[in-house]
Amino acid sequence: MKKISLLVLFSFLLGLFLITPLYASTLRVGIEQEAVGLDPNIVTAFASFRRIELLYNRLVTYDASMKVIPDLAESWDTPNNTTYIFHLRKGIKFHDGKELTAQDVKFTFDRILNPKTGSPARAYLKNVKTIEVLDPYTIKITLDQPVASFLVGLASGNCSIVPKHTVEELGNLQRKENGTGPYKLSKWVPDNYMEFTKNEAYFEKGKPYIDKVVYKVIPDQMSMYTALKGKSLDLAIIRSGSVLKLAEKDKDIVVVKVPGINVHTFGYNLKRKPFDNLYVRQAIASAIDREEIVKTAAFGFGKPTGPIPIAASYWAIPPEELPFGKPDLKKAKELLKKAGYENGLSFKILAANKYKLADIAQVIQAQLKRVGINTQIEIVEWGMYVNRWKKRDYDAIVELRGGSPDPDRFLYRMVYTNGPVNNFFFSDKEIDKLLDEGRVLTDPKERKKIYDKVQYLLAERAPIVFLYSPTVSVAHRKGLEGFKLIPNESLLYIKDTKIEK
Amino acid sequence: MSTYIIKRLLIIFPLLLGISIVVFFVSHLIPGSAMEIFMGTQVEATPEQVAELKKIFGEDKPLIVRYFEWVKDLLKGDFGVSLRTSRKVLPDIMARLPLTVELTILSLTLAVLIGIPIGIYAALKHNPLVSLIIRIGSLLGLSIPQFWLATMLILFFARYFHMSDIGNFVPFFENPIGNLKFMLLPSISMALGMASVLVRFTRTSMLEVLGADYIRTARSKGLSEGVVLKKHALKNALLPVITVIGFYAGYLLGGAIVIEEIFALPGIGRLMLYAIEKRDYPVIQGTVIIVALLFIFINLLVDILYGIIDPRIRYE
Repeated sequence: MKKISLLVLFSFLLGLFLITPLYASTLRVGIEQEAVGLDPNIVTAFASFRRIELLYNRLVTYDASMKVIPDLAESWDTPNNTTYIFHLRKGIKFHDGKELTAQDVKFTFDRILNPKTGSPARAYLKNVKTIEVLDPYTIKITLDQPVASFLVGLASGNCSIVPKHTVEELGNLQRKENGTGPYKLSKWVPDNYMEFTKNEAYFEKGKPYIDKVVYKVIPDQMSMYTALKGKSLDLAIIRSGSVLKLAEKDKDIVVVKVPGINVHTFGYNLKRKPFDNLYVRQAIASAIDREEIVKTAAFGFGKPTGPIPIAASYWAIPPEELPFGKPDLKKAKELLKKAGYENGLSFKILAANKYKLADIAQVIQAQLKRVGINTQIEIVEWGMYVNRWKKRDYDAIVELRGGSPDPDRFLYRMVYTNGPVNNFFFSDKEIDKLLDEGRVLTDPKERKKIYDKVQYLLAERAPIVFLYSPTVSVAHRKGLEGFKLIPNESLLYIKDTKIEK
Repeated sequence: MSTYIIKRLLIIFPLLLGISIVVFFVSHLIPGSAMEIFMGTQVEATPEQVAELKKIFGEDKPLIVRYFEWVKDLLKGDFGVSLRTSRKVLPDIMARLPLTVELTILSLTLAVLIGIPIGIYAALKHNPLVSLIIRIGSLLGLSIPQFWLATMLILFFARYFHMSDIGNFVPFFENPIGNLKFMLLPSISMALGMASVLVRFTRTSMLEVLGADYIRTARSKGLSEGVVLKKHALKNALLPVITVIGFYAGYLLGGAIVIEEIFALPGIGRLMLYAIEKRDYPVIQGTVIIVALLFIFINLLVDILYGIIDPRIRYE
């Protein structure tokens, strides 16, 4: 008798070890990094945005193809190209039950514009002249000049609308949330997991479908994959090419891929020799083979791009249709000769062990060697990399640039003379003039003509080689329905996802 | 003995002062700052915004002033606020400490249970084949990198048993079975290398002791082999082994960064790694101070253990 009960106990314990419970109404998501903070107007980390997009809403948002669609604002009028009137949905409640009104929207934008807040979204709103509350559900914003990318800026996670009363009470929202989003934060164990519960009062009727979402922090990509395979996760953010290859072969796992909006670039400090020489830059551009970089450094998970992110398909011209966009070693050597460097030249490439920058640098090194350019790669730790980026302390640098579906948003800050993230010292009057024109035009056809020209000029003057856009990817188990991935890596559409039982 | 302990305890203060100076200035010497990393390379900011951020991150004051402010707060028991998460530093460290302590205890226990018996066995048996196997085995255990072993263990269990607990960590007192189940693989990954070191140390030290005069004397006065081994040989042979274990315990309490990263364990190691990555000075400094304190206490403990095992070391 005693033996039998021991046996039962033992098999019970064994059962505990082996059975992983099936949660049909819970979605377990594996994510690489812990959120730094949760205040939507303040944070800069990608990891924070992945949480904020479930908790808050913006006036407008993106659909899966990154088109701007209504979010908190049901509709908007533009009586002229510097005035926007937004009509808010009625009856939207913050998670604490208080209703969202135009006052909260005004408060949020004033907060972003206040330099003391230190909000990265200030750049999106810097042309705002006045913000007027017309009635509790209508708000009027006027700009000091037309800004074609204004709505795209408002769709940024940093422009999420926050509750006036909570910010006034707490000072900031880094640790506590009170949003209007599809999920509420119910538990947060730092560096371990974050649990979200369905917001029953969410304004999209019937959504979200899943009751509970748990974000688990798993830094190692291989561990992430095995957790998915071992059914500890339902969805995992996997970026590593080698692990994705493994996941793609797995019949129980679905890999979702979309072309990303971010761009890897290879740029120079144009104040240093030999990069002040146009022929040298064109020679380097001709020596670089984008396809090979994608294949080798990213295991094929990327798409070659020109000066406008290839995912912004309305605007982007594929690199092979632009000057110096195709690898041509003969031309590269001729150009080097023209520049006076027929005996070769050498410089250093700065890269960090993050976002594949070091891998890309190595492929570029090999490609440049083919035309007699000798390079030395400096791989530094991320903090050091940022430090040297700020000081412009490099010959050449491999980067990952945050992209945007709007060409003005992406190019103005990067290539306009003294643009805020123009760390190349690039300055070109002709391009500046075109960028100024493109910024204020609101007719897409006219704008497209201008940005076509900009793309040709940038490819020809080659201050930067735009390499490729890394593929945005997640892997999930079979049986998830309705999940959509956006090129900006947002997991917002978890709200449309159903789990098949 | 007690004066010895008091003396050792008094040394802690100058030691901590030295550590505080070193950790503060070294962590601030690393290029890049918390604010720069917060901004990254893709955020636009006007000079006035940058100045405002510098104030928020406390980077507007000279380094030496910041050091004295920090020490002043530290003496009041205030470890400051994290620049990365704006949470208080000390509770965050304390929340992670139990995991690190548990991992240390589990992997040390495993290592001792595997390493010492094998080491003794290897010293006693003069079978060349057995000693060759043990030597090769321990060399292998010593050479296999932890990260490789950890990844292989994870893959193996996921592939053949469809078992993976990554991301399911629960504290011991909440769910002991779930916790131990989860901690098994990380502990094994860490224990193997240590066990190999222990095998080698135990074996060498045991062989040395077995050749000593007092063992011959013990045998010649007719004691049974068991008593000779247990009472005379083992006790003396374990002295250097305890030193190694003490060293490892201190080392492990500093956090097993690689293992914590692979198994997604929220321990001290990862806290420190992320703090360094983000130049989160208060967290780096606080963690180092706490770990240093633990290290000092473990060393003290080892010294006391010495005294218990070998009365000759009970100091004047």
